[in-house]
Amino acid sequence: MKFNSFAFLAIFLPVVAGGYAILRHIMGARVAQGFLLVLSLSFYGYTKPVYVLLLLGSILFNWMIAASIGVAKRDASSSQMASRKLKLQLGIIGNVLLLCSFKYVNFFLDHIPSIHGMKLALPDWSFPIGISFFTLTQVMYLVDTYQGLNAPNSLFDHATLVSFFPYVTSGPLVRSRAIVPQFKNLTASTDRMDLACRGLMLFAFGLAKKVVLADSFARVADAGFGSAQHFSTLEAWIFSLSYTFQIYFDFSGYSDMAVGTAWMLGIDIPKNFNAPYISKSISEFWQRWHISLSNFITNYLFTPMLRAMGKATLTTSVIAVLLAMSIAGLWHGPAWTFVIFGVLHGLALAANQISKKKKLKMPDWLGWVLTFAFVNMTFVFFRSPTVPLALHMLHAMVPHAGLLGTKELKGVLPMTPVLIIRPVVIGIVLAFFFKTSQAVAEESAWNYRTVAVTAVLLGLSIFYMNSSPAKEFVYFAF
Amino acid sequence: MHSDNHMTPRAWFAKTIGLTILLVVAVASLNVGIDLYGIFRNSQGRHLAGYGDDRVAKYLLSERYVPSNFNALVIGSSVSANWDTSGIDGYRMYNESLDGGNIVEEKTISDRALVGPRIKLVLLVVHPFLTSSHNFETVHITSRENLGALGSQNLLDAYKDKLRGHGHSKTQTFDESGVFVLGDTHREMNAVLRKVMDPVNGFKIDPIAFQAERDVVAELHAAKIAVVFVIPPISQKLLVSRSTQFATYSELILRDKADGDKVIDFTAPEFAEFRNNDENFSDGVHLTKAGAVTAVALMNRQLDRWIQMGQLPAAER
Repeated sequence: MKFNSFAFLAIFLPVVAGGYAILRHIMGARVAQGFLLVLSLSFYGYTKPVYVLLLLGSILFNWMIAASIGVAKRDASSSQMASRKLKLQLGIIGNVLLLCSFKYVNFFLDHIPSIHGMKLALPDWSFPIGISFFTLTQVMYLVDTYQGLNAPNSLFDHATLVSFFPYVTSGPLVRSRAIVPQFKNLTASTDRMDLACRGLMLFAFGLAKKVVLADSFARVADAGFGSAQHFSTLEAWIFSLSYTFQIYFDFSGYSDMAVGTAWMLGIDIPKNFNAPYISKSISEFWQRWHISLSNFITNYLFTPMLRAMGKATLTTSVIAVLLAMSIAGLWHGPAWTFVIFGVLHGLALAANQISKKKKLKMPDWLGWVLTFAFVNMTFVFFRSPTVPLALHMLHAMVPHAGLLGTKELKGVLPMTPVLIIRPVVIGIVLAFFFKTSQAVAEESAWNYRTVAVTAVLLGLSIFYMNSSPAKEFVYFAF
Repeated sequence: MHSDNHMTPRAWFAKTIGLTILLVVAVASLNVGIDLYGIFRNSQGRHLAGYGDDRVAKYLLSERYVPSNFNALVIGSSVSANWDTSGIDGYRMYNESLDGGNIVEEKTISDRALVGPRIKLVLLVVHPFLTSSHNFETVHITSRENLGALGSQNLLDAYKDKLRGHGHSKTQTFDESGVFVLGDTHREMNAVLRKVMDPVNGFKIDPIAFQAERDVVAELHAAKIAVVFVIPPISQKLLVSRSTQFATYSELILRDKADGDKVIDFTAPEFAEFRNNDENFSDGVHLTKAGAVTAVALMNRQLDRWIQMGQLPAAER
């Protein structure tokens, strides 16, 4: 089920939010949690019920592994520690295998050269939505359990944690110790109502970001990245910038809706975006973009790799960041374009580390220009279906004979002010000069102005939702 | 507590949801009241031209407006989109043709108009373009367009077009009988059409579109609606190099012709004079306004003859 669908907005959300609040009040937190678990599984299985079995299988496997790892003890014997480590490794391998079977088998088999003219038959497995997210969430859970950062959950708690509908399909990635206690916590109803209001406001921001802005940018970006025509420099920049804004408003819109929905249920989940396009360096960008994935990369990839290399030097940290970002790139999908995206960001982060070490400085404005231009360029790889098409677009972005032509653009799109100017102007203002939607929702007062703003945003979004079929969120593909 | 708070969170939540519902209901009610496409109430006697997206407009108009006000249809592509058939004797004819439309799009639209018992005659204009693809060219029309008529960007565009035109016809997509205004300027055939009507490799036929065309004919037969196959005009210059292909294509299409069905074949020798007059064509395939008037008059004469002979049902105008 999509957040930007009428089924979610008019039926699922009111039922789950209303039902959860009533059950919590009348029958207590655990019954309400059971209700939440059942509806979360229904949400996940809405389009393809069979994948609920996969989700449940993954939940059961990780719960058993975590239970067998058990609570970390200071006085554990070396054999006990070795056994715990072995179980952790088994758990991680199991999760990686699950992810690989659905995401990467075809990619790797496709690159095995044919033997005697025969090609290996590729399994035709469709991709279960959210598998990348619920798998990483459980890897984090296993590692945290092993490190003693949380005790193993009951199966009930673990299933609720993993399947919680606001984040099961596209994150943010959450840690067990931040979420599970909230299911049992009975805070005062006034506080919950206050959080629910902020959740409704944040949800309205997120929905408008998705259906008004992201989908408008998508029409322009899709037209450009869907063909290999010879674009002018101006056209190539319009297409690439459109995607850069599309993915931001799409994913941050989704994240706002996820956090907003969780707030409506009285549960706080981590934020995922913090105005990333105002970043003045690439390391700052990754502290502001897909924050939960950045934290995962830092804590569960980069740091363990650095530790495994022994001494933390500039060289080892550069190698670790390159490896971690390459894996993060590949996590997005089985394609060389994603690998290149990861490697380029790894190189940029490494360059950032070196410049920090050497205490090189540049003016803020130059840092911002370089960072934004770099991010925009790497998103060309992220969006393009193949590496040659990405290179074709990047080549067109370099000033050449056809500098300002708009012939191809006019050919693929009606150049109406409504289509081009409105989303661009609003998008630029919001992305560069406005507070983050989460900050606005957190700081808002309860008055008629905020009532009007939220209602108009919701009404406008419903108008846009009614105008065309709901578009998938970009990160549903990962 | 925030200093700007004027109400409790509970009151804020209730007011926000209430105002949202009020806004949505107000917009929807306004659009139901205006009922631009005649889908919310009986539209008999109304004169509704098409505004906004042509596919969406014809799809919605075909639900109630067309079956309430017309008893004959033209089904075709852009080749017949500017044929003003409203003056055909014996029928009130609505032109369902779409600019750049294929038979799958046409079927989606005309199926709605054919639901009721009022349609007595269909002119099926079988140009190769109609069966050359099955993709929805601009919008994928579905029943959700009915929801869109309660409030959507297309509806907003339609209002804007209507208001810009101050009630005149210059901003409408097509008139109250479904007739488009296509340019009269003489031009080259566009690239898509050139490819479809390749004189060397033969006409491109999409199997899904071809099946859809056969389904349309079968449905018309099942509903006992009189069918007239129209092989549309083409300039003599273009026909010369494609006469074999046209003959093959017509033969293929007419295999589904039933006993009572009629055929008007503008590629036949009797229409040579029409085809030889370049003023009738803008690009050799599409007709100019004057050409369309002549072609419709020729068809009218033939239809009238069949009605007089009792071979076509005479419907009340």
